[in-house]
Amino acid sequence: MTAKKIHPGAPGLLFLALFLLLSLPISLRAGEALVSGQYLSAVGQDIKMQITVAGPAPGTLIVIQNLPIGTVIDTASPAFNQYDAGKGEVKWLLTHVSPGRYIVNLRLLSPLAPGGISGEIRYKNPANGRLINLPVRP
Amino acid sequence: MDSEKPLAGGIPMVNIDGARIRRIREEKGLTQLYVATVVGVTTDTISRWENRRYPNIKKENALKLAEALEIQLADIIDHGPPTTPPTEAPSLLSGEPSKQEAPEPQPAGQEQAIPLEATAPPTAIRANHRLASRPVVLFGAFLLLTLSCLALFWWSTANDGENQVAAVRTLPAHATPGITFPVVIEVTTTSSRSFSLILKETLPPDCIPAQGKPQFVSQASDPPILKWIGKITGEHTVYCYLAKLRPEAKMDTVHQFTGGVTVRSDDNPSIPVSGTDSLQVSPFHWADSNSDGRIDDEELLSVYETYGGIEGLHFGKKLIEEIWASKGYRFNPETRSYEILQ
Repeated sequence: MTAKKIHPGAPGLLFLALFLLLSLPISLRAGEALVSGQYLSAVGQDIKMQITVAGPAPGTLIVIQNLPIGTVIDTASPAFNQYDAGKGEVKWLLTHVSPGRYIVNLRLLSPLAPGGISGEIRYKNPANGRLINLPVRP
Repeated sequence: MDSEKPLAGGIPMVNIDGARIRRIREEKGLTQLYVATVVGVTTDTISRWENRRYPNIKKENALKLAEALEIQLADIIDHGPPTTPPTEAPSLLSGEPSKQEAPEPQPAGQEQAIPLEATAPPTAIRANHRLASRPVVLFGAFLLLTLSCLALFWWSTANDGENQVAAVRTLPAHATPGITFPVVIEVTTTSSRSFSLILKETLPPDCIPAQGKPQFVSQASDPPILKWIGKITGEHTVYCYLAKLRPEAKMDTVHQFTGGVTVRSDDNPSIPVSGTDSLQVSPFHWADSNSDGRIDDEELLSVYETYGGIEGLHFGKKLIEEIWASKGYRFNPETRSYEILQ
């Protein structure tokens, strides 16, 4: 019978692996989106995006809605701050944001084909001031 | 009231009770430095007032003194007959010691007194001494223990208060003459106790201060000096103000800001305000931090995260949002305003 040789650095490596394994979900949770977005409606004439904000909430959000170039907007709720028709980019500036749910709504003149849009939410992480770009897909 | 007397020049003067001032100041744990800073005089002056050398002072200073001591003016007015010279002007006599400070003369025979033990036999002295000293030793040990506990308590509370305050200034890197920009000074502490402080901010001579949040209590000009007297009760307190550069400020010149925090009951003269302390004169808007002629999403979010939470601070959000929503802007030196590019 032969005894197995244990490498002297093995316990240390094991400990390091265990530490990383345990700390990874924590760090992911810490950097986890304080903000999330989802489409409630992404086809037809009504485009509706729901933004959910958790605490501690960033004070300000920029919500971006990318539309096919040349799309004509009938109404928007709330009113957008920017619309670059050449790029098909609509922007909202949401200030004094607190934890909760927000909906941005666009009514277009003509219905959209499925898959023609995408969204993005930009904010500063209140914990470290880092800019977060959160893509939102239908 | 006979304690209020105008001088020939018309300046109202009042008699103050120096001993009462000292007592109130010491009861409230205020330093002469703190009081002197609030009143705007030197610590020597406060010392003179407390020693009743010059109890007749300007009413304006007496009001500030009452404010520093957090009491009413009537509480420090001396209603008795004046006993000292009637003005507070500096005097050559100020170097003389007061009567209160004069040392008491020692009785002449005391130094020659021979101890009683010296005449007794040595063994008897030792026995008597041992018997007599036992309670003395016990008392001494008790006293030492009490003093040690007190010293330990003082050390722990003093350490708790030591280096507990930090002040950091946030200032844009550049600003355009005539365009209002915000300055934020965040005062933080690790102490759970509440305490008073004086924040003093000196602006460059080419700067004109405007709104303050909270409002500054005094403002001098040339150079502009802003002062806040406040109380810290939480972990941090934010002091901010708006300012603008004079229209004649030359482009590309750099202007310095300095400031300090004086904490009540603290021996440190002043804790300097750290953080950004210089501002360059530039044709670019202060929110356009990379000076590329437009305000992008990140710059806008930075502005809102830094200054947006301060209620009632009118730092020009409308113009910033207008520039952000446009293709850019440029400064027109003739109209001294920005032209928005659509």
